[in-house]
Amino acid sequence: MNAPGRPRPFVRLAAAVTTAATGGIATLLLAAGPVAAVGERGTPGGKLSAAETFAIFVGAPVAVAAIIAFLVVLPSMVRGPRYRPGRSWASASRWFGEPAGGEVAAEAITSLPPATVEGGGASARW
Amino acid sequence: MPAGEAFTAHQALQVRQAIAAAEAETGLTFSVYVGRVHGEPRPYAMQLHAALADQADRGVLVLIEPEARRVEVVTGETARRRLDDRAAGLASLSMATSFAGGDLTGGITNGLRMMAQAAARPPVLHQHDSD
Repeated sequence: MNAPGRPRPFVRLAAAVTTAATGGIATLLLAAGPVAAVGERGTPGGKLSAAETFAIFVGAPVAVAAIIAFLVVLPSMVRGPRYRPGRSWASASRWFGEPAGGEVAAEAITSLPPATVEGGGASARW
Repeated sequence: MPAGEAFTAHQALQVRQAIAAAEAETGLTFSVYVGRVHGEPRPYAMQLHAALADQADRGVLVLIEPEARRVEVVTGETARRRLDDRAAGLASLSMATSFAGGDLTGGITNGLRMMAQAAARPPVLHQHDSD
């Protein structure tokens, strides 16, 4: 525990001085507020109206919660719709690299020729 | 997921770029269909492949059925010589893994890249027997 070459009494003294100084300064600072306020003169404000009370104690928390919720949702809003496995697929179909060179929605595919290739390929499930 | 577009403009662009890159690398024609199918996925994929018409021979069609959770890869006769069924199977498994995590665009672009790499490799014309 005791580091060789460093006298323990010195460490103790340093710790005691630090603790005392911290405690003293903290006490002074804490006491300074009320002490300074003793002689202060001011006019107390009028009573809060019902609307003001509502705004402060209900409106402000709700507004804060709404801002936080918005910040949480923002990334996924920016990223756009996302496919979720297991949910039903409500989106329009899309064909990239369609024969005519463009892209078509599935609704535009009205007739398809019968399959010609006995060709290869593979399939997978998830 | 709201009805309408499954891909944002940026995602669609990524898919188009992946297709263009794969085509430039291999000289094959790549086509990706994402959505519902009428009937069984495999026959429908082969019909879509046939719809590539004169490109069908060199064509690789990838069908993704998000609701039935199926990936189908159909290769034409010439395309199959470059992209054998084993490589196609590996790519479709990789795509399926990405899709299972909900990443359609990433799965498509990765799968296309894998297929392009496999097809860009010179075909093995002769195989040694192991001795």
